[in-house]
Amino acid sequence: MVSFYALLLIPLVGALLSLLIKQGKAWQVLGKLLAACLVAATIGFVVQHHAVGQEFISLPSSLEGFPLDYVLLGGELLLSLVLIVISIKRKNILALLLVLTQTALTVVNDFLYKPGESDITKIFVTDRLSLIMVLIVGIVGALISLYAVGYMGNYHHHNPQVKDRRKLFFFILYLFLAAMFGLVLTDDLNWTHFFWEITTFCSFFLIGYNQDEVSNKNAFTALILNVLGGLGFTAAIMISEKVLGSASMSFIVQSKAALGSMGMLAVALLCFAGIVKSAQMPFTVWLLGAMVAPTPVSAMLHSATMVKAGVYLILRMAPLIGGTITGDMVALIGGLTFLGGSFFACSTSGSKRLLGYSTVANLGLIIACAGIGTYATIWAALFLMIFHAIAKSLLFLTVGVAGYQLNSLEIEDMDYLIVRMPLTAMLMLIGICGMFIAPFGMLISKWAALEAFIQLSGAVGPILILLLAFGSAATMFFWAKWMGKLLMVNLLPKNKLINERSMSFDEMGSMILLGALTVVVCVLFPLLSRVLVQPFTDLCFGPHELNSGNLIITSIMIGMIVVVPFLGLLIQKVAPVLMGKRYMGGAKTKDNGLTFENALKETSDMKLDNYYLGWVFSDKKGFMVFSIIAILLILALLGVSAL
Amino acid sequence: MNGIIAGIIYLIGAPILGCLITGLDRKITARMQRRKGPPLLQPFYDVVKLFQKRTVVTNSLQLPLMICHLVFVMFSGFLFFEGTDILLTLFVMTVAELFLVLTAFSSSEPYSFIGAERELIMSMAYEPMIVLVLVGFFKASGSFHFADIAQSATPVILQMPLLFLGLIWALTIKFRKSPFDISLSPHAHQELVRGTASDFSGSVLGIMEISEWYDKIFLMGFVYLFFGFMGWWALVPVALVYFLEILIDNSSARLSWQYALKSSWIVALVLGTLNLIYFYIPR
Repeated sequence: MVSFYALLLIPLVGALLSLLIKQGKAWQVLGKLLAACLVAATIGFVVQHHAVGQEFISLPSSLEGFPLDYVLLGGELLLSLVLIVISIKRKNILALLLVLTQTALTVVNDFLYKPGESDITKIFVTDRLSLIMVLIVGIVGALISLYAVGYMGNYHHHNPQVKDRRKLFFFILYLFLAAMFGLVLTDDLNWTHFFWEITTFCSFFLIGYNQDEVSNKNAFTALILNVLGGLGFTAAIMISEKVLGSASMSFIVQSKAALGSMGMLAVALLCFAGIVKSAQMPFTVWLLGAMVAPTPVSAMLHSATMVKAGVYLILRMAPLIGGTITGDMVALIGGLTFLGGSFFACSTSGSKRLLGYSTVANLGLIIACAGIGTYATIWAALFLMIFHAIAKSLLFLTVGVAGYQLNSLEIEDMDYLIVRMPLTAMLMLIGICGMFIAPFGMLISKWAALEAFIQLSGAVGPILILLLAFGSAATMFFWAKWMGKLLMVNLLPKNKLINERSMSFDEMGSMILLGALTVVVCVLFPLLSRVLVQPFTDLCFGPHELNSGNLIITSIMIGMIVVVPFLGLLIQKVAPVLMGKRYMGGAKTKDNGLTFENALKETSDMKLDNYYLGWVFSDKKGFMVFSIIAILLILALLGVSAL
Repeated sequence: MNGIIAGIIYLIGAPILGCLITGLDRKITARMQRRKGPPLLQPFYDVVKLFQKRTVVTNSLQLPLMICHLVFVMFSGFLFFEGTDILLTLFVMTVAELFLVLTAFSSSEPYSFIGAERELIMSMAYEPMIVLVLVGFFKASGSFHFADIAQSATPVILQMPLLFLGLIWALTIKFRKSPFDISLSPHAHQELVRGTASDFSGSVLGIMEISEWYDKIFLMGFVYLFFGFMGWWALVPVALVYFLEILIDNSSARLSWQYALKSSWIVALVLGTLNLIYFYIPR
């Protein structure tokens, strides 16, 4: 039990401390300490609980008779009150109306629908899926918060126009982590919903951190959409309390046969809430808008928290929706988002925006897998989620430091990065490899997903295959051209090189750890599968055999991809090569071809820009089309489930 | 065990056979153009000469990345004939392709750079088609493994004729044949110096040539799978397909990359969907 309390209390203590302690030396020490404690608590918790299937965690019996439900209601009302005040202050009528509706529904639910008092033995639960989520939130979240300690100092140094509100920033950041732990460890949906609303609340503040016009606008977009999703969540709770007489997640999952059409509608509404939270089409806008915030926020929203909450909820529903029309619709929305996200990423030159589209695409794939809801697809979905969390956070962190060192977040400005910032570029390359190259986990999971789609018999199978085939072709394009930019090599003048030692220990340390984690998790991937992932899929679908031969080959490939490049460098050492001049079409070049003499006899810089294929993949034109299809699919999702 | 032997035979035999096919290709191409053409072993002589030259590189990553390219090309073919899951093989092939592109990018000069971009666009053009062909193989034979598909009871070609046409389209891109020799052409009529390979010379270029030989045999393996039921006679249609590729090469003009991408995707979508529908009709 100790580890459970530690898990919830450490981020809460961190949140309180960040309000109390001044930003400075003391905070820097404390930030490291908190991250270390968080990782330790996470590992302790997982070690303690990894052996059991599903286990309820009882609160201490001294809480018996304590009006927990009023605490819950009070907490929810407090959240609403803050949001209402801000909405009025900023004169955002739509947000105000939605928050008011949400509050009203919550109150109605608490007083009219709730079957009884919260049972202190039945609020919190843990199973393998919760453990996987705890690992992601705990470890990746801790590393990001560690990075933020160093990064935010630099951020305010480089952006003097932004008001320094770091106390609030870290308060929200740790609160976010606590809420995520709560979210994945609760079984009573009323409580899950409470934590769900906290994550919406936290993301609103973090996105609006800079307090300029764009940040405020985007923060409200995120708020409005997520409260809309939250409305679906509340409606789902009310329906399930009315129809099934319970809002227990495990009870709902077990009563598949008794759901009926109303029960199915509740499940569909929960999926809807998850789709909004994980920024699927057409709700992608809020996640892309969230890019205006400092980089650790994006890293947090994309990998450890927020969007993963949406995916988590849909994964919970997977055994219920697998093989139903509801599930097919969810899968199609995911597949469509995968295609759209991958396409739009091709025409995107901003690194953070590209990462955003790629997140959306990957979540789409996870949701497509969850919607299909078979043994193999859930296995693939869980691994996609794990690998995505690690690789994507690594990418955001490296992009963050490259961003302020280069004064630009554009991929076009990352020429020669392997020469200019070797360590950052290497880590960025590891992150990109982790996102799409065999044998890294993402690709293995994609392959497992494709094989599972092929073996489906329904009409949704071939559609998903087509979406995946065209989407992954685009994936290769946008990642590879980014890698190409990073791997451009030339002798550069001294003033172009960047001293990486100027980075803070926190930034460097968290990036290196995440880079190492990306590789280690790939190596340990069979172990992870046996200890955490397969037990969960076994629990949902009964035991299955997985083909171990392919796992062995992937292990061989991990070795190859690490060893072969070094082998190549070694061969080059042994058989010395001559450095020649690059071919520049006969132009008069200087500085190894970095500059050349143009037709007017002036010196021009040589600049090489990537292709963006705006004429096929533009998000300006395409977004509308994808959104309309997605809206139709969502209407169908809710409609067919209610029938 | 049989699989590993097949894989090793590939590793040893593919460069020899690939070299001969390339020589024959040049010979037939010459005859089609009413030239006499080089000797059959000319590609071999070329590569030997490339290796005898001093290695001149334009940056320190060129040679290592090119070696990675070769190793992964060899590995993908090995896995394919060894009998590993063909989808996994496809992904290894993508990794190999990526290393070639990165080699070109590392040169950081305009011709290689545009060549690399075009190389990526072309691989984006053919990849969906190849994935759909592999999906078709599974639907036709119920397996993802080379030997099972080759020995499938019902002739694969009869079940996926449209996907076969699509594969020929994709192979035209893969073999760098006109009208799709957009990033790098084996012929003298270039538009971007030598595109992707502009900055390669000596052993770097030699390694690339060898990896193309490996790739050729690996890709012919896909064609073979369509005719596996014919046993050794399957080599006849395989040879015919290659002849067809040479014919296409010599009778068409290079397209723009925009057109190549668009047309390839439309072809993949139409042929792929129609053929997949056939598999999903309840029988």
